[in-house]
Amino acid sequence: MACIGGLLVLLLVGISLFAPFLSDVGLLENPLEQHSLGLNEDGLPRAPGSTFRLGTDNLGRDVLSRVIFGARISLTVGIVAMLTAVFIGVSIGATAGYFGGWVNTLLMRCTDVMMTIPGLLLAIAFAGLMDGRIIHLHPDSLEWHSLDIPLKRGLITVFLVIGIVSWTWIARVIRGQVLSLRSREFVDSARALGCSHFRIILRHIMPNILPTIIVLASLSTANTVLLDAGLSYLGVGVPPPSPSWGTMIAEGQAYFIVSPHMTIVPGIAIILTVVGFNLLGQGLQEVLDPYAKGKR
Amino acid sequence: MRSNHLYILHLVIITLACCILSSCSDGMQANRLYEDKNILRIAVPSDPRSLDPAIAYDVVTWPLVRTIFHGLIDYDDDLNLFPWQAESWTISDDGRTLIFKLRPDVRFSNGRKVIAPDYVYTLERILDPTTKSPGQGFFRNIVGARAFQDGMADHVSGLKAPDDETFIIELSQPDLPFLYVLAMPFAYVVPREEIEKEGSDFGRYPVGTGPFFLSDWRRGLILRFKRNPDFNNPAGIKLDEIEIMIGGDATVHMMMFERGELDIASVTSSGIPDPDFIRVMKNPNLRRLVATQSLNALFYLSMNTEMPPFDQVKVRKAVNHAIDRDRIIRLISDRGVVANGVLPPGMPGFNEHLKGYDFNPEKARQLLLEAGYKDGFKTELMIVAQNSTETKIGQAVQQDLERVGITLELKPVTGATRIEALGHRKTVPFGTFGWYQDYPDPSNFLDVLLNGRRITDINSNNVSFYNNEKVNSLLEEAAFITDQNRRLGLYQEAEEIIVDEAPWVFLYHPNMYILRQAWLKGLKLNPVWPIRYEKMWIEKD
Amino acid sequence: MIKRLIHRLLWAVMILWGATVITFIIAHAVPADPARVYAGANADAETIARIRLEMRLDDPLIVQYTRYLGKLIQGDLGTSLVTNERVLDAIILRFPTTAALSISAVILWLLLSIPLGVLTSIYQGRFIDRTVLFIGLIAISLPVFWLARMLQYYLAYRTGLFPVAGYVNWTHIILPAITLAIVTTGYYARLVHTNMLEVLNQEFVRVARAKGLSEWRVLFKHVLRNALIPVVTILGLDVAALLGGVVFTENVFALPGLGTLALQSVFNLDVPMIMGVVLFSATLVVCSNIIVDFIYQWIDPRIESE
Repeated sequence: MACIGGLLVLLLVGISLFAPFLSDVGLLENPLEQHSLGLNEDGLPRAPGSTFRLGTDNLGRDVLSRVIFGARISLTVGIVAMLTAVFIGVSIGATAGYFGGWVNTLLMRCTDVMMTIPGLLLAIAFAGLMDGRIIHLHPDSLEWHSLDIPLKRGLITVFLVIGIVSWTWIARVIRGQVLSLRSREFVDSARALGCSHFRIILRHIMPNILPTIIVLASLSTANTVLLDAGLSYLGVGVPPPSPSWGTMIAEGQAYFIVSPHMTIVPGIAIILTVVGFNLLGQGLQEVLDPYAKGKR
Repeated sequence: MRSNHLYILHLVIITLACCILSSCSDGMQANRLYEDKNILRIAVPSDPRSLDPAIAYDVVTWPLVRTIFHGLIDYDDDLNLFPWQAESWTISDDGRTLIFKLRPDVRFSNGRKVIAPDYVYTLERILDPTTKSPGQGFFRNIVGARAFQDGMADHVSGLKAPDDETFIIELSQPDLPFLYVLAMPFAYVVPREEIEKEGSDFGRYPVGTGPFFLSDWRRGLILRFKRNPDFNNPAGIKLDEIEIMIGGDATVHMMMFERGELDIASVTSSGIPDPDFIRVMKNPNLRRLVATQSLNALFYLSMNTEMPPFDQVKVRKAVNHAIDRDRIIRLISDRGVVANGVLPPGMPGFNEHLKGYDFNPEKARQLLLEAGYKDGFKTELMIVAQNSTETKIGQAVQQDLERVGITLELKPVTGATRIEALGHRKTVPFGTFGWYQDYPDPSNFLDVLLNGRRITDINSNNVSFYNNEKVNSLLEEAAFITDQNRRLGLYQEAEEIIVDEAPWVFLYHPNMYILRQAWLKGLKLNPVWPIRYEKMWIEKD
Repeated sequence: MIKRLIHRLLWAVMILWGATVITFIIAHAVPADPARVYAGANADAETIARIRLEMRLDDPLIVQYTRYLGKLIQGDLGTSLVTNERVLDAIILRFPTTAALSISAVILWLLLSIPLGVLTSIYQGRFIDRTVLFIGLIAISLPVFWLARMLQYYLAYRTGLFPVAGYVNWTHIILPAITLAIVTTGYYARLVHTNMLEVLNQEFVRVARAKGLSEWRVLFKHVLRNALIPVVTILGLDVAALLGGVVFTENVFALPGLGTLALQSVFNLDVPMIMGVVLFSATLVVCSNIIVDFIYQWIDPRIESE
């Protein structure tokens, strides 16, 4: 099972990396030319056929090319968001599980709070309210303006938003793992030897939970890709004209009755991607079992 | 035991499949949601902002306001004005005084009888700056209006109610179209006591003199009008209830219509969603449910007469000759009629003899040569982005102009940007624009859009900044004459000059389409009021 | 029991308080100019200045937050910027629709996933097990909005089996509920399946079998009850995910619920409404957690959670 999943994922990564070679970039660049070529005599999108394998959209653009380029965007967002989520989740979970006591309680309560607010609602609210505020990561005295993050809707902010709403269950799983690991002897012996907490976590605990993290990463990507599709569909994801799959589905809405392929094709692309990551994750889980009691 | 389970599972699946397959149809087995009850069901994508007649100003809300509120005057099916809730009216010889005799039997839905002071209150309210009515500009010609608006007077002196049944309006200048203005929903009568009670919430709890009253409005959910049993002229009103679902987009509404869940597919300006238009026209079952109405509107390309090369008449005429308008009409699936001038066919004063510009690339090139543009020139056309009609037209124009040596670049912007940019002096050389009448009088087109004396530096309605003294004087003269025939003559003269000087490329007059169920009767279209709900009813044969 | 209740209530209060902090941050600290956002897209400079004054945005954030919290406790969730209705009223108006949809969806997916989970655990390893689980995997990989559109097109528009959109009577809820159920069943079926397997291997099951009880009794009385416990727990928290899926479903089927309200208010930049909806959802999740907790206790009083 992992193999199939792995293959799918590799395929996707490959497609998105080699996108410019696989399809004619020109088809996306010249909006007016596409208009006349890409639309039939009624001015409507062409159905899948010999010239346009998967048909065209309402502006005459080749759906296949857009889907391929969309792979880049959706995958990038998905993976980077996953990395954000994993980073936050593992940090919080490991810290909570390792130190226990009030640290654990505090962090777990925070996690609980984030879990009770529906992720999608939070993401929509967050993304929707971003109107250009600049967050200065540097202290006011130093003028390192390269460290500024403008909070406008764009690639960076989207993956931040998705990452922020997706880390909670990762934190929970990791915490559970670390908790059980901590009670093992090797931790106590390491402490006795005078190793710092940080060192222990890094050199002893991390390697043991790495398999779990990999599984979680894969399953999490499945989620983030779905979430990104959802946000783009609603119009609060990466702004058009980026061909994110979700945006393509949104654009296909009005033409659903006459040109269903505009909606079906990007949908299938999403499904394949998500299935791929899910298969990969579940497959790895079976292989790497004893530790991973990973629930979504 | 185990095999039993599988067996049952298989059975269930097969049954389900049969059900689905057997009821497969082509989407036209529509069963009406409300059977044969006289309830009209339509849908709008979002709540109307307000049902207050002083505030509502869009194509969707006006027909709704009309069911709850009525006024002095209305249009009949031939676009003549007739007394509605007035009994009669007279105009003084100098055209400055309008005297209305009110019907004695008109009541608000709260039971109170309507009297002349109510009309005084209604019109004053429109002019009151705190109401922020978008229609106040139409009423400024009333004596004392400006003083009232500037806060120098407590009342508008030109509005008088000598007794309960007589309402008098005095105008500072004679103004024939003013009667049309009174036929607009802004002038529908409102009850003072309800407004004082609700304040700015009156739009949410409207009370008027119309045949229906608001029975339910849950925001984002539903809007319901019920028939007012005490309405003074129940004859001809057969509808019991109007139900308006709030939510969903045009495509969903289209699907709902085809399954019989809605009685009219779309009540927004497009009538039929663009992507579905061809499909509907090609499907005989749907086509016969379409009612077409040519609108008193014009879609045109404005050339900025203050910016070269469009400051030369010959260049503008050349552009007009270069563009193949018949082809454009075909490109937009025949959703309109080619325009030869400014006024649409349904407008009084329409000149059917106006020839306009024929498609003649040869002549275009010749004119360009004469103007000194032997090698053509380069310019850009501003269009609205993400709009397939505008894009199609833009590209067609681009191709046509290419043929005579003019290189055109298309510049897509948002609708709001376009309006602002076009109205800004010396900013946009060439842009698409459209105008839909406020009322059927030539002044509403010619005077508003092409009078040189009305040009402003920003927010100008005269977007080509066209300024011809002869035209200006003709327009100003026509504004105050009371002899309709002479007026129309003056307007026609002005129009001829305008067409000759070609500040615009006169493209087409768009149509409106209403897709409604076969069981919806009483749809009587006219260019001013394509939709009048109170005249409809449901009848299933 | 009482002690537990108090404990849970304290937890609930703390969680909700945390939620208010987060909503406050989003509404006040994220936007560059909260007053401009508050005033709405078309406001002019004067209105914005006036609102800034009213909101006392120049006070330190802590003070603003305390004020906000104070109003919340009194039940004042603010007034919508767009429609002028009270936020609480608007939410209560829309809540029944969302509730109807959610409850129907939950019932549907429980009805589907429990038997499926049981079936697949019985036939573990066989063809049916693998197929069902695979279909389940695909089901949870479906984007909700896409599935909703597909179902709407094929089952409502083309075949007329269900109404297309809107909410006139209960038949309008079925298709949306099915949509939500499909994407969740895959996950729950798997969950039940895994738990059943675990329990099936446990001591007391072997004991029961050895005692000679019939297979069915073993299955239902012992295994299922134990396997369902984690399911019930997850259900509580999954309300949060459910509310996410509800947003899409309501959008496609034009149902006038909380999801549509949330979307509209984001697009209108109606900040009080957004905050209200988010807080209300959080409250729902917390409540369902507590309810679930007690059902769980009732099913098996022996089990203590952390």
